[in-house]
Amino acid sequence: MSLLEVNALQAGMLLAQDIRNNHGTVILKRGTTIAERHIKGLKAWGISEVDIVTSEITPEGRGEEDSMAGEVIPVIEEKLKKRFHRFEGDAVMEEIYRVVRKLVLHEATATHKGDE
Amino acid sequence: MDKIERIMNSLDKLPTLPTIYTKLSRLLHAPDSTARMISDAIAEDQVVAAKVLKLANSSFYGFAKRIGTLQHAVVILGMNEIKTLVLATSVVKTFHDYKSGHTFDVQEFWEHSLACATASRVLAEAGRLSSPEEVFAGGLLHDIGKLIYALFFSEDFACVMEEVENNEMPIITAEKKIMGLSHADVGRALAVKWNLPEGIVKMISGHHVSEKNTDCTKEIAAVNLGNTLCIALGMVSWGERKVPCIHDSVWRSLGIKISDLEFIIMRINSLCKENSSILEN
Repeated sequence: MSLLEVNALQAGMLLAQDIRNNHGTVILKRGTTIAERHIKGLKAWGISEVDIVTSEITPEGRGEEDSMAGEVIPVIEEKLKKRFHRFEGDAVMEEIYRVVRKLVLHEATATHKGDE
Repeated sequence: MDKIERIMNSLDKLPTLPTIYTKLSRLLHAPDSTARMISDAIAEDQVVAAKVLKLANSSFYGFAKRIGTLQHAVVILGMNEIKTLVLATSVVKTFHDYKSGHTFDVQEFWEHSLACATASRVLAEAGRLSSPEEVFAGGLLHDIGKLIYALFFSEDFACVMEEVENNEMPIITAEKKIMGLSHADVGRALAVKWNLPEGIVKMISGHHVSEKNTDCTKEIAAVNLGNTLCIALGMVSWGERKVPCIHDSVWRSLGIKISDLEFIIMRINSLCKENSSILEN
């Protein structure tokens, strides 16, 4: 599984997770093979990135990727906790933290892979 | 002479904006101005002209075809956008040759300022504000008071830096204690001296919203939240390295939904990454 920006999507890729819109409604189901019309629709919905199945990662490779992410995650969370004050219970701040964490993890894992 | 008087007097000695901005403002208000006249006026300042073209061709606007001439840029972007781009490039040019004496990182300052301009604009568009380009300018200039302090009052500002870094005092508190005025106040005074539009003056002076504010304008809310999101994304400002809380008045005023935040933050992040060096020479 890997996160891909909508602009990088190509027809023929396979969805690894359901895609939901802002209201939580499923607009494309897991397992759907992506077609051109889907990509246009996703852009119109403002979806920025999508979880797709990357078949070139072997089961062993996938394990390696998970453990790489496992090393990186605590370091990143430590860094983010220093930047963010206590915000539990504040829905807006929690969402900002969630999105920033997702972005930073994605970028760090992508860099990690690039360093190999 | 007390500190406040000293600061206000010193503003008179500060450089004025390049004449191109005043000339352009006049032209834009004149009923018979043409795109040709406007582009000719901008072209008189080569540095500003080059940067305006660079900005017009950036992913901020995302035009499919390259904009090759200033005249084309004026026609495609329109008067208000062009005025904002000229203002942005003029301000950067004004301070280009000054060096900060202490540990204040001028490059980090402009990176944060451009990031805040970007973020504020994305928020203004999400909140359907009527002049997102003006909010871009407000975001770009919101911390200009800090630059004034760092460049022209570096000794006193070093004491502010100590209070903030060693005693974790909030920057506005430290500035008021040591300098008498906050960077928002100084920024406002400078914006008034430069005759900037009223909306921009308000965004600069009001961008630090406190709990006591029960309401604030949408434009101020966009800059305040834009600043917060930049810090959250790691594009920090000197003296503000932790993500401040978002006051109710800001959130209510802007009127966006929590579910909009993911797309907004992703967009801000990619625009900032693509355009981080666009103001450099």
